[in-house]
Order: sequence, then structure tokens, then C-alpha cells
Amino acid sequence: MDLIRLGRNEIKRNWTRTGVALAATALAAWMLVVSHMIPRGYPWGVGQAERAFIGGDLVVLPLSSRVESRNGANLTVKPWEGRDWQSHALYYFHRLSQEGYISEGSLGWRAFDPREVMDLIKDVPGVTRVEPYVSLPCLVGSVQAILRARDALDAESFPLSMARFIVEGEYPGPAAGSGMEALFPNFGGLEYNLVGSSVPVRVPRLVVNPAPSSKDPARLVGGAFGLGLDWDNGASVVLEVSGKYRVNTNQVLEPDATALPEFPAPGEEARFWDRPEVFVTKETFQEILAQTQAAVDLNQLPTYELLISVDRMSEAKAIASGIQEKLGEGFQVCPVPELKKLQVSGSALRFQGLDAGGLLQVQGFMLSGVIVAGSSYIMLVQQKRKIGLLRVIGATGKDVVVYVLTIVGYVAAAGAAIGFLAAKVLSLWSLLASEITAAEWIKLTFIDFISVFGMSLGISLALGTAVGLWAARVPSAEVLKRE
Amino acid sequence: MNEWHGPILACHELSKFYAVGDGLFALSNVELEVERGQFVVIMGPSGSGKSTLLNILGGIDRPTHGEVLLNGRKYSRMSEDDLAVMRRRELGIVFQFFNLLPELTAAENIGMPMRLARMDERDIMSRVMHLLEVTGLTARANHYPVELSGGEQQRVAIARALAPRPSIVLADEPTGNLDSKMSQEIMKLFKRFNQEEGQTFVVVTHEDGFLDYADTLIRLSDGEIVERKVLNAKK
Amino acid sequence: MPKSRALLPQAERLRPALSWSMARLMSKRRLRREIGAAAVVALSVALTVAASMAVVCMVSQNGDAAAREVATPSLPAGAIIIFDSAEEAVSALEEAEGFEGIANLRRFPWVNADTRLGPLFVLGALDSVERGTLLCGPALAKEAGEGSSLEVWDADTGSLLGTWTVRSTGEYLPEGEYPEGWAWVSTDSLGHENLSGIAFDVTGDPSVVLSRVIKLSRSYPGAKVFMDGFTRHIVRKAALRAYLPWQAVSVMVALTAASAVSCVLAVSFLGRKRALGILKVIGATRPDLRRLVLAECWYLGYAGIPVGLVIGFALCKLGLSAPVPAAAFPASAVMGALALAGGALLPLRLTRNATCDQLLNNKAIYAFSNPSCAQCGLCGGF
Repeated sequence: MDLIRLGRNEIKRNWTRTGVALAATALAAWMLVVSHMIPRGYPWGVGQAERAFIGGDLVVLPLSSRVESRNGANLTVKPWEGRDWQSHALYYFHRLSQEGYISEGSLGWRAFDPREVMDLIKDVPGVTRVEPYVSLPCLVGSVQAILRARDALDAESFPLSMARFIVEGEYPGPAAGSGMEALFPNFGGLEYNLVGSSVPVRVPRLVVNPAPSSKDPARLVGGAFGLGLDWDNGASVVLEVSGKYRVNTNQVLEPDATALPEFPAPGEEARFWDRPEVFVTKETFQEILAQTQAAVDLNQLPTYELLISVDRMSEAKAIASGIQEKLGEGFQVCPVPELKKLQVSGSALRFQGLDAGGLLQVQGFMLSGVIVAGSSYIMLVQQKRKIGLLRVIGATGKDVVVYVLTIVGYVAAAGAAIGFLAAKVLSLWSLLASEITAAEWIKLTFIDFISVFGMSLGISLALGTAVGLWAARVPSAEVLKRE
Repeated sequence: MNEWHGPILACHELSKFYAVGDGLFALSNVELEVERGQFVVIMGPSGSGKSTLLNILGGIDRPTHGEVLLNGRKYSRMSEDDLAVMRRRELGIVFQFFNLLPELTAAENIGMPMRLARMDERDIMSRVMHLLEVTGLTARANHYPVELSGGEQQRVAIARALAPRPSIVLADEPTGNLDSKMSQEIMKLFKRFNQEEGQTFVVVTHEDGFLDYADTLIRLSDGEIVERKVLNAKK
Repeated sequence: MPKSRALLPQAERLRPALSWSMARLMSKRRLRREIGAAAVVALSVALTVAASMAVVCMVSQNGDAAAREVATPSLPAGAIIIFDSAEEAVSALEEAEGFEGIANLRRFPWVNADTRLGPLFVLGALDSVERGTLLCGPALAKEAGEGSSLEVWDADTGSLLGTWTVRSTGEYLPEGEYPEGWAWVSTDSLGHENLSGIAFDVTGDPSVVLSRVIKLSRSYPGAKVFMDGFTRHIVRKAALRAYLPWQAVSVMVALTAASAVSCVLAVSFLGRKRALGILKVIGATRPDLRRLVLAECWYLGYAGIPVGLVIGFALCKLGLSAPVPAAAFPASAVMGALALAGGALLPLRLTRNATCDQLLNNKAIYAFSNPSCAQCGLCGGF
């Protein structure tokens, strides 16, 4: 018996109710696809200036963001003990100094051994480069600044090179023959140091108090190092200004731009970075350390911040959560563009809620499944007489179930298709805007297709079968009943 | 409700038009007046508009044109809720299919319209007992409709329609679904209420037996009154 | 000329004539006859209540866990504020003298120190500490070794402040935990010249004092406030805020349940159109029918909500092994009631829009409009 065609006609006939069911399914499908489609990261140029200045796409700070210490470790609100030169944390979490932060155990704001952490991060997919943040406070004349060790990065292969922010001169070379060269900021009282001039800089001696429990490797990762400063026993060095830089944090850069865009860009308010970091190469930094007679090797220097470059900014959040998972509770991993946002509403006490996204997607399909099956149930109750008639002219119980499943299946499939296509049209746009390759897009489309149709049809048909079994029990005598 | 001395039920230029196919007049220009205590029987072939007329008289359906007056009050344009409030006091309706409320017992079904009319509970009880006695259902008082036979259900329905002492009782084929013996009993019941309590009735029926009790016979055909006959059954 | 009778007063139309007891009686009997549909509705409600309860418990569990596991400093004073300079402390002290509900206001010296155990706040606030002794929390004392000597440097200048003998606070502060990362020495060990902290005891309402203290600290950028219960409060709030999106899960469950309830009640409405029509014929108004639907919902909620509470409680206790906050019971009961109310919306609309004719003659009834032209049934009425 051609009950399939009958079911199709029924869908067309009862248009309002079918429409509601279609809309619900389409919405669930659309939401699922869109939620997969939204890149878990940022377009290439977002936060480009910040990322270049900081030297990484992600930062790892020894902050604790997750408060789930089922293992019994006490979490303590610690007063902030850090200093501005130690990392970019204070620059972003500006309330940190008043509110303190949460850390595991009794160890305060701390430096950590970068090698231990880098070992853990090594295998996380998407990480291309990890570099510790190495710096010292210094006095340029009477101006306080931060002396930072950072190698010159070739502007063509490293998008985060400082090269494009140099307004005059160049980045200090790796093996400067004459003396110690440095890249100076063109702001913060340091703009008067001209390129080519020699500037005397006072640097303190760094005192490292190693962790008492270094035997215990578990404590060492995120363990305590006290980095103390001894200004009395520091050194005075002379740095030659090799170039000047200035960073406008408010601009989105083109991927292939090699020089600064004309700025202030038209219609855009220029906001300049005001953290006075003086860049020197690692060799120079090592030499300065030696001059202060600090008993530390640059490669073993504990750090307060790690900088991570990723291969794709569109996956920055996913990579950050991958790293966070590896590092556990003692660290906080943030994409730099996100930090930028946090600066506005940031609080030192941050908690990461559990991810309910997957559950909500399944629930979306549950809801649409209930609406699809429910509306066909109502439709069938109104047609009890018709089902009785079908039974009279010889439809078996199985036929009736097929009839119901046809209605439910068509609505669920059509709704899923509408939602899927609507979302995919949107995703074509995201294909243009992000770094997702066509092959990956097709793969994602395939996965979305399977999950959308699988969930939509699976849940709707399961509920529809229950309705169908009910309808199969409608006796042929129903046709005789007076309505 | 006794201040009114005109006809209890009247309708003027009553028409009902159905927009089906080429359009169909179910009723056209029906004029009717029913006096207090009258027993009116409406007869006619299937599709002549009898049931439509009764539905309009009962406020269930609305006329396309014309007016219906109950105790001098127009109600063909009243709101649904006003109609319901009016029905609970002044109109009783009996259908062909017994139409009892399935979740209530026979006694509760009979008491329901009086409860809706906010009558005193003691009055309700005595009225229910009286009606059960008159309809011969005292023993079945606490049975649910599914436990009653067709004739018993119809007697409960009649008792329920009569319970709040309405001005008029409308009945649509009250014996249409019963065997002849049951029909006789139902007809006797109508007669008894008409003659003993002076209850006004308008009955749509095919049953010639009703003519023995009726004062007036109205014949409908194709939505029009084709015959009006005064019978002398009471004398 | 016969006089026309006045219309009934409006009040009679609006006030339901059907008594609650009658409505409940009818609903009870009806639900008993339609036990399957009633069970589906009650179960949907129960599921919503249980899910909502689980979510509330989980959120509050995480908030509580965070708050509990953040050790509340049990300070030797009700509140301590430390400033960057002695001048700030002096002016803050003057301001604090005007506070109500505080006592024993005093100034003390403190330094920001480095030790081999990590950074330490060393406060010279307790005169009872012997000279040459550093009093610290039990955990820190254990780590350093009780009775061992500890070198303490000034973190800012790098100079050695002194070498003190470590002692645990146990005997001094037997109850409550001691804030880790803090240590106390006798006042004169740090010298009296830099009294840049103030301390006082709280005698009045802590929340009032807290708000005044926070206001005070805001006018000094470097000030740090430590107050009993203060951190716990912020931590709990932050954690609860972070877990708030989980409420979306229970909202989705409620929506799904409401849809299911709506379908079942609509079907049950379809099955009783004739009975409702008869009720209208014998004089029931829309408020009467509404009361009938509501009485039914009352029974369904009466069955579903307690069952849901029991399931939810068991789920939280056995499944999540979470403590159930008292607020979870009313909150999830309200969620269940909302799901039921959401589901009842459709049948309520239908009873509102239905005319006697539609009910008795099985014509389509529309939930959101009642067009007279739509009797062809092509646009999906009930």
C-alpha cells in the first residue's frame, strides 16, 4: 500500500503544524552546525600588534583558573606578590594587585622552571614555538623601564616579528660587533634616546632562591622560585640604540603587510602601547647578567610567563584549552586577544565553568524531536477515523507504523536539511575569512552532516516509533465512531 | 423571570447560510414563537434544517441573519460566556447522543447545571432526588454514564436539562438512538413534565408518537417552514 | 409593550461558577481514567524538577567547593589593611577612627619578604611574639621545620632582615587556620619607623564594616585588605557566576518537558472536546473551563513535582554525592511548575478560543486566532 505517499500528502495538508516542527528541527540543526563552524580562535589580524609585542599568540601565566581541587589541595587566595617587570599579567589583570589570586598550596606568585613546562606543552598539536618571557627591571637615566631578552625574528617567516613596528633604525642584530645594541621604545620618556646614541642603563643583580623541594618533581612544575633583586650590587651598562618602535594596539593588520600601515589609520583612534620594554638579543641579555655577576644562566632562568605561537589563530582557543589541560590547575593559558578583552572586565578570580555545549546540542535535538513526534501525534489523534479507515481497507499495523514514520522522517529530515544548508551557507563566509582549508571545510561539513542527520532522524524516529506503535493499535472500529 | 408575559422563545427572519460549494441556505426566513407551557414538535426530512434551527435556538450556533429572543431578550449576538450564563438558568438542551459528562455520576450530572447556576446545595439535593424518582433512576443515582443503558442515559440527560427549571427545553432527536420501547418511556417523560410542571418544550424528531402530546407541529423542508399546525393533544 | 430584560452583571460571567472542589473531583476522576497520558505529563514534570535540582546542586557544589577550599584567613585581628607607605596608613587610620562597629584600632609595621619558602608577608603586629621568633601558619612551619632558623630578605631591597626561629601558631591560635604566606614577628623586630599597616577588631555588623573598609581601601591604590569571610564571599560569587550557563541545561529540559506536556494535554483536549462542549451547553463559561484545566494541572504537578524532588535528591546524593542546598527544593519545584504551566498554555488557549459549536460539532479550534474563514481545516486547528 502506498502509505509513504499518503504520509507525504499529509505533511503538505497540515501545513501550520508541520511548519512548527520543521522550524524547531531546522533551528536545532542550524545551531549545531554554526557552533561547529565558529572558529575557536580569532582572525589572523586580530590582536596582531599585541601579539607581536608580547611575542606570542598565547600566554601562560602561573595563575590558577580552575577551582576543582577534588584531590584535597587547598586553594588559597593569595595577595599579589608580582612586579610589573616579571610578566604582562599586571598589564592585563590590572585588579590583580588589589584582589589577589587563587593558587594551589601555600606558594605565592611564583616563577617557574620554563623547561619543565615546555616539555609538557611540546606535544600539543598546533604549537609552533614556545618561549619564556625573560626580563629585568632597569633604569634608563631616571626612567624606569623593562629590559627584555628577545631574538630578532625574521619578519617574513615570523608574523610576530617586531620589525613592522620599528619606526626608525632596526632590530639589534644577533652578533653586533661594536657593543650592546637595544631597540628602544619611542614613548614613555625614552623617545629622546636617538638612534645611534649610547645610553647608560642601570640593571640590578638577580637573586634566585631555588625551590626547597626540588627533589620532588611534582612540586617543581609550578614550584616556587623566589626571584629577588639587589639594586645595590647591580651593574651599569651602556646600550647603543639600534632602533625605535611604537605599537598601535588598535589596528588590524593585513596578513601580507610587511610594514606599518599608514597611521593613525583613517577613522580610527590610535591607542599606543605604553609599556616601556627595551629589547635586546639573548646574547646581550646574557652578557648583562654576567656583568651583574648574577649566578644564573639565561637558559635556566626561572620565568613568570611563557609565550606560545600557534600555527593557526582560528584554533587559538582550542589550542589554549589543550595546553591548559596538559598544565592543570597551576597555570592559566589565555589567547592574547582574549586578554585584551579581559582588561576591561577582568578580575583576578576567574573560574572556568564546565562546558555544556555538547549537552545543549543534544538537548536541542531532543526538543525538536519531541515537537516533531508530538505534532504528528496530535495530527494522528485528529485522524483516528482515517487510520480506522486504513485498517478497514487492509492496512496492517506495520503499514500504519510506516505511515507515521514517513511523516516524522520527512519532517525531521527536511528540517535538518534546511537548518544544515542555512548554516553551511553562513560557513562559506567563514571559509573565506578564516584559515580553514577547503579540505578541512569539506571534512567538517561531512561530520556536521552525519551528526545533524544522525541526531535529528535518530531522536525523531525513536519518538515517532512510539507514536506509530500507538497508532497501530487504533482499531478499525474507530471508523464507525461518531466524531 | 416571571415578569415577562410575551412568548418565551421567538425568532424573526432567521436565516443561516453555509458557504460550501455554491452556497447553501440551511434556513431561510424562519419565523417562530413559542408560548409558555407549549409543546412544539419540529419535523422534516433529513437536511431540512431542523438541527440547525435547534442549534441556533440553543445559542450553540449563530444565525447569518435574523434574531432570536428568549423571554424577550435577544441573544443571537451575545458573547459565548453570556450565552453560557443564560443557558445555565433558562435553557435546557437534550441531544440525540446522550451527552453525559463521563466523569460524573448520574446524580452529579443532574446536579451540575444547578451548581453552575449557584443554587443552594440543599435545593439541589432535593431537586436531584425528585428528578431521579420521577425518571425512575433512584437506584442508579451513583452510577457512571458508562454503567447505564442508552435509555437510562437519555433519562439522566432529560433530568439534567430540566433540573434548573429552565424556561424552555430544546430536544434534538431525543429518541433517535433508542429502541421503540425506550422511546415510549422517553415520550411519556416529556409528556409528564409538560402536563404536570407546565414545562415548555421544543422537540425535533422523526417520531410520530410525539404528535400525541404536542400542541403545535412545524414542518420544515429545505430550510423553510412549510406547515404550521395546531394540535389539540392536551384536550 | 413587554420590557426588555437587563443583561446579567458582568461579574457573573467572569467569576467561575464551578467550585474548586467540583473541578478537582472531575479532574481526579478524569486523570484516573487517562492514567497513561497523566503519567507521561507527571513524568515530564518530574524529570524537569530532577534535572533542575541536579543542575542547582552542581552549580552550588562548585561554588561551595571553591569557597570552602579557599582557606579563610583567620587573622589575629578582625581586619588588616596594609599600605604602601606609612603616610597612607596614618591618614587611613584617621578615617577608620570614624567607623562604627570596630575596636582596638592600631598601626603596625610590615615588610614584603623573600625566604627560601617563597615570598612572605612579615607583619610586626603581635607584641606577644618573642624577639627572634617568627610565628607562622602550621603548614609553613612544618615545611620549614619547627624550631629551625629562617633567613628573611627584604624583597624590595634584597637586604637580609634577619634570621628568625620558626614557630607554629598552633599554641597562639588553636582554632581556625592561619593564613599561609603570612608570618608575624614582634613589633620592634621590624622597627617602629615604618608603621604602614592598620589592624582592628570587628565588633559590629561585618558586612557594614566590610563595605566601609573596601571604600576606604579604594582611595589608596596599593592597599590590600584582609578580612575574615571576605575572600570566601568573592570566590563563591565568582564561581557561581562561572557556572551560571549550566542553568541553560535545565531550561532546555524544561522546554522539552513543556513541549511534551503541551502535546499530551492537547491530545487530551481533543479527546474531550465533546465533554467540554456539553459543559458549555449546560452553562459553563470560559473561566469554568479554565478552572477545570488548572485543577488538572494542579494534580499533575502535585504528583510530578514531589516525585521529581525525590528523584533529584537521590540523584544529587547518590549520583553526584553533592550536598543539596535548601534553596534547590523551591527552585527546582518552580522550574517543574513552569514546565507544566508552559505545557498548559496550549490547552488553556484552546479552551479560551473554543466555541460551543466547535466543541460539539468537532470543528477545528485555533490556538492563536479564531478565524471564521478557517473552517476548512487546512491550516491545522485542533
